Amino acid sequence: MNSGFAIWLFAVSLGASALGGMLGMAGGIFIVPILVIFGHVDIHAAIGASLVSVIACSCGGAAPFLRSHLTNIRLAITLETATTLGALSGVFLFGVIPVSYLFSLFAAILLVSVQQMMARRGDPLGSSTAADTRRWGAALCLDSGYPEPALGTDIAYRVQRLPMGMMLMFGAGLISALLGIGSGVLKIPAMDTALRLPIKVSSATSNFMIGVTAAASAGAYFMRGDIVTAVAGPVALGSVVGALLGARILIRASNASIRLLFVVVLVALAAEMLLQAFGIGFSKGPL
Amino acid sequence: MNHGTPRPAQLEWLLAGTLHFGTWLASAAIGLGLALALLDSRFSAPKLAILRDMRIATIGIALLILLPVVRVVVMLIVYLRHRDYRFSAIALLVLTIILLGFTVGLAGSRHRNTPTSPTQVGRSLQVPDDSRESAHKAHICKDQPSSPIYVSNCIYETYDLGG
Repeated sequence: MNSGFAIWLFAVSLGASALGGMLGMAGGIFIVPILVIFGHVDIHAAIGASLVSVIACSCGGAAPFLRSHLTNIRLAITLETATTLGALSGVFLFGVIPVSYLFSLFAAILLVSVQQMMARRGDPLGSSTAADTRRWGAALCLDSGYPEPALGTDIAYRVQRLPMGMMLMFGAGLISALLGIGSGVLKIPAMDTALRLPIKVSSATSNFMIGVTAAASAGAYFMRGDIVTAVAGPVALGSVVGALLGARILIRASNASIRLLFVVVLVALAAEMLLQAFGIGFSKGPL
Repeated sequence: MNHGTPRPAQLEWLLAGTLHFGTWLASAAIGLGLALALLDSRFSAPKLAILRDMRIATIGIALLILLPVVRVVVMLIVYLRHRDYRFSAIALLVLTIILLGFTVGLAGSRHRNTPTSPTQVGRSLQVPDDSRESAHKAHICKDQPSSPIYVSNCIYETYDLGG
């Protein structure tokens, strides 16, 4: 094994996971393009390694959220039926979809994340919805509350529009398996718009869920032999360390300059992925 | 916030502990495996070192992938013990889907479209019913003495060494 390459992989995934952790997502959306563009790793190997990284971020970062009762476990396991089914469909599509389509899809997802990063997320307001939008949430006892240290009390919330949330989660699982990302891009609208969860709860629950979603597809790719240890090993280690660091360096997501940096990086990666899709990337390493 | 619902809190601490411990265990295995492979590649022929010593790192990655599955199993057991059959069924469904994914991957490894003949050998090995088929199968096996698993392992192990 080339030790320099291993250290580079470790450093890249450490940085990506630490940055992602600050914004409450896994670093996969950065790891795959960087590995493909600068490391000349085959995109299928990069996606496999990134899925392992997503699992590392999810499992390594879940404990504090669980202990502070932010994660809604019952909601998570309910939505996981949809995300894992989506991941399974992604596994079937993975080998069939041409590589150039994967690049284009990735570029599109990067651009959607830019758009989401520009728009401010706020806690969904108003519980003025009719009772029938809450029927499923109530039937499965998904409504819960979370402790708010600033107020010293629990804040109760209700889970709404579960069927619509499940459909969005299916899409999130599909994208996750195809592109090797945690796919917060689709989970955030699902949690905010459909289920109407408070931000803290949706971040914690989403983090908890991406591990199982990624395990469904990563397990299939591992069995198939698509996960290359020499790439995935350093990436996994870097991600565990990066996720821990990102949680420690608590930088507020509302910080405007950090958001701008992310937007610039995401746009640059999207442009390069589009170039790769049309086969005119500045290098095509045959790793 | 803590006196009303003791049961979910217990589950949360159990899951937090499982995930925390599991992540450290898997990371330790990956780190150890990579360190051994790096050390070995310093002192011997690099390609041979990879073939031998990436195994520990691969086991670590397998552990990491299995960790969320273990988490679902823990949830299933806790829900079953508390006779929450609705959520036991949901957890069981998630578990089934994940295991289905593993099975699909395993099947895919045999049907992989490699340009070499092992795929064809593997495929004909899978057809057991007809006697003519089995004669055909024996014929192919005799022609190609190397076992298909060994060959595909070679492709997999040397896949990324170019860099």
